Amino acid sequence: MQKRNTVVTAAVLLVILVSGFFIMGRLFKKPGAKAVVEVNGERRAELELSEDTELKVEGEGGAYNIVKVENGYVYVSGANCDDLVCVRTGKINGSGRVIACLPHGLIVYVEEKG
Amino acid sequence: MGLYCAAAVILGYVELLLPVFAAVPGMKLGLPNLAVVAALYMYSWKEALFISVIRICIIGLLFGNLFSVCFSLSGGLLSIFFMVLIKKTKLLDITGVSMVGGIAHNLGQIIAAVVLVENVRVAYYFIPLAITGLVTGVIIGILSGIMVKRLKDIGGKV
Repeated sequence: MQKRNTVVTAAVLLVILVSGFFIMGRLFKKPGAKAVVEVNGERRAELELSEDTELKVEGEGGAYNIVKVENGYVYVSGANCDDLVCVRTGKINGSGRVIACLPHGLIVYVEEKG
Repeated sequence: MGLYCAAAVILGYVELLLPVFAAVPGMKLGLPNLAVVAALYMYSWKEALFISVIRICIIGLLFGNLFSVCFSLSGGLLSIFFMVLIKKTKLLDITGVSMVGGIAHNLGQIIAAVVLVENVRVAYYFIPLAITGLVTGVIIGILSGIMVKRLKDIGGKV
């Protein structure tokens, strides 16, 4: 009985999550206009995705992340955090997409114009 | 109990040695939770909670930093809370309990992330993380089920 419940719950959750995943994929497909860089909730910079740029974002205690815009995409090309999740996230350009470097409290997200 | 903590810490180390096939940032197998789920079934929620907190602090001190401890604590505590809740209702078996724990773990981490960067946008990662949490939770649940059965076979408590 418990086993059947588990299988049913697992299946239902999986269907919900996977469909949610695809719906989100569609929602965030539209390319945005600019990348916003925030550190601990404070807005540090806005980069137009139409121009190639490079920005070194510095934080407390020598922490840094290098944010690059290239061919309409934004990505973190280098950082001195422990896990480098931000670098591995790769390039994004969809409106609403996020790159996060949690050890440095940094996020980069793509926004529409305006 | 000490044995369970030690096992959890070693599993945490083993997990670090495994190549990270991270399709989603923050994704992990959650091997140390084997010990937590097993303790939940062998003893009670108090022991499971104790082992979870101890292993997070020790693994954090050995291989991580204060930051990773905060994340793991937030995930670990929410995970235990939901696992105890589901176990009490007796609706799901050990695999189901572990699965819910896996998803709750990710939810706790996302909440910590939202608080840390002061921006709800990082919640974007919740759905893909929850999928991995579900899958790893099921794996850990099946393994814990086998472990608990064998532990009980050899005379119960260690």
